[in-house]
Amino acid sequence: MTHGPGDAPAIDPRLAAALHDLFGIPAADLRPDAELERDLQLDSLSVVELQVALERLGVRIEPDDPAQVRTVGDLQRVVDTAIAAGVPSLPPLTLSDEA
Amino acid sequence: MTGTIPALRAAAARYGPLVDEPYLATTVRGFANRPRTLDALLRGAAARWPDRAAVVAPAATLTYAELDRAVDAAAAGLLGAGAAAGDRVAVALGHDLPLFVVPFACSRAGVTALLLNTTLSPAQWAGQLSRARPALLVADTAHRDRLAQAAGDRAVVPADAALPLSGGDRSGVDTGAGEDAALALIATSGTTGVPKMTTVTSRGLIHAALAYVDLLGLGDDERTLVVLPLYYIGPLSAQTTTMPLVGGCSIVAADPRPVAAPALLARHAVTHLDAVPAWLGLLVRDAPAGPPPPHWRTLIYGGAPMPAETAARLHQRFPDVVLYDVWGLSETHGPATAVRLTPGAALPAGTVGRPVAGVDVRVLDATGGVQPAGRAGELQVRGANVTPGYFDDPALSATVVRDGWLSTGDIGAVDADGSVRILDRLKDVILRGGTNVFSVEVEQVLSTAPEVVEAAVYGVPDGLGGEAVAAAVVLAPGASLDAGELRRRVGAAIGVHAVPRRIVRLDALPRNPTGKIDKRRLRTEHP
Repeated sequence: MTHGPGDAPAIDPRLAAALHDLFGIPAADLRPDAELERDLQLDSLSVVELQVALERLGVRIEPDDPAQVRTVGDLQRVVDTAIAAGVPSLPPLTLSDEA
Repeated sequence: MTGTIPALRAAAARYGPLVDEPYLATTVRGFANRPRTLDALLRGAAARWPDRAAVVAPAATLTYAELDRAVDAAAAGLLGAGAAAGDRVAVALGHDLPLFVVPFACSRAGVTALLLNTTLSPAQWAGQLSRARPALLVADTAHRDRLAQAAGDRAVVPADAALPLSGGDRSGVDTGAGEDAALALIATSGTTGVPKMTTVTSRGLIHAALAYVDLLGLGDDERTLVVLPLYYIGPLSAQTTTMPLVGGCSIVAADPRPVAAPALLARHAVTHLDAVPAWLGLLVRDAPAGPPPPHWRTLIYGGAPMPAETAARLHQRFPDVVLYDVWGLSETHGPATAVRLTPGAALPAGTVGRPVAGVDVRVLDATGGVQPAGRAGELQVRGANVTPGYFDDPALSATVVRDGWLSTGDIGAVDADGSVRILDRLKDVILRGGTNVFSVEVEQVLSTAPEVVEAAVYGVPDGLGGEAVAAAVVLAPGASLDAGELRRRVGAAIGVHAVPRRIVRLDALPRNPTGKIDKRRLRTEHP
């Protein structure tokens, strides 16, 4: 799932909240082309944890192709697809007041 | 904590009995009829089972006779590429045949491999290289640029040149290395920021592997799937070294991810697996549903406590597999104690079982007195599997291994029945997946940021039943927290596994009455 710079999706504020809540990543760092591992410094276990958190919101990332979700933009696409497929809109997550 | 010594099981009996022998200024119990070196082990296996499969790897499948010849070629290749007997060779290699061959080739050539952990940053590698001073640097294509970056202006020899797996011959290859020669160095971070490198020897690996053969009752039809990195001590002893002892086969997984494992376990008729709880948690979570792999019998795991939910789901999903929890360190070449898990029967918290064959465990109090059964203190291990020490650090070696007893840095107790319980860690270490993150090391990196006055790093629960890294920092007056910059700094200096997920800013770090940073309180108040 690659994409050109022209069709970069907007980052859902609830996805941004999840990334902030779990890993303290500021919203300002969430460019669509930011790579989860290289730019956001998430290790593979953290990526799995993010998947688990998103699953609680009804968004399933298939585990058999990790290359499919490499960037923040890829994540956003998975969220968009899930919403389009009828997953109720994401409930808001509480933003942490720390960091 | 010796007692009646039970008879050795299965193939282990062939290498026994356990007899007293001098080692490290003490007396240990060694397997009397063991091969003395990895080289001798492989020669023996090749003579006994020449046509049996020894290793299945992405690059090739080899019988024992073919593996023996490949190791000849690799040993000659290392010596031809510029290493001499007694030298160190740094290797940065992926999960495939060349890395599998390295320990055997080093035993045959009399050289020592510095096994570079490929998840670490080039900056970490550079620190290890300056300490180990290798005569030769070897990398595969995937790791060549990073090793070159770590090595400054030194040349990196491609793996296919330094570790050819065919075409060599045995002439000119020095096989004089004894059982206590350093086969490999495995680096762990130290509290001083200088890497310490545990010496891996043939004596240690073979005793650790024979303890596994005995514990698990391994037979000659074993097929083990290697999913942990081959630069970890776990697979080196539990898999690479056990299989030639019994005539079994190692399968170096083409895809070591949990999601791929059920298919590999079934396709390769795997009987035995070595893993860590984080990997197993993903296995039960992500692996596609289907019948359990039909031949899989034994699973050993260690490195961190197993969440009860993971153990229950493993049993549900793979009911015929027997689980063993193993406690050990790089310094014990793998296992010190082990316990067989019984489904549905909870063990007392922290229980890691009894010492494996030939190993003794005792507990010392703060003044160095041996504690009676049930009383807590630092756990010490003695046996032929204990490392002789750390490379080029006699002072540290003498502190950690004294009269043959290894100080583990774990706090625990040995109960009257010989069962060991781990209660706490003396070392300030966070167990992240299969990797240890040393808090002090991350704190040092955070403190290099100009705005950070003081930093404390501690473990918090992750969402997967394991631990994640968290940090609290005190900033200079007027400075603002740039968590992204601090995270990148840690990633570049150590590796992404050590990057704190949460960095909180505090006015002051909490301290206990003796002035030490109170990490327990940080854990509670800032999880």
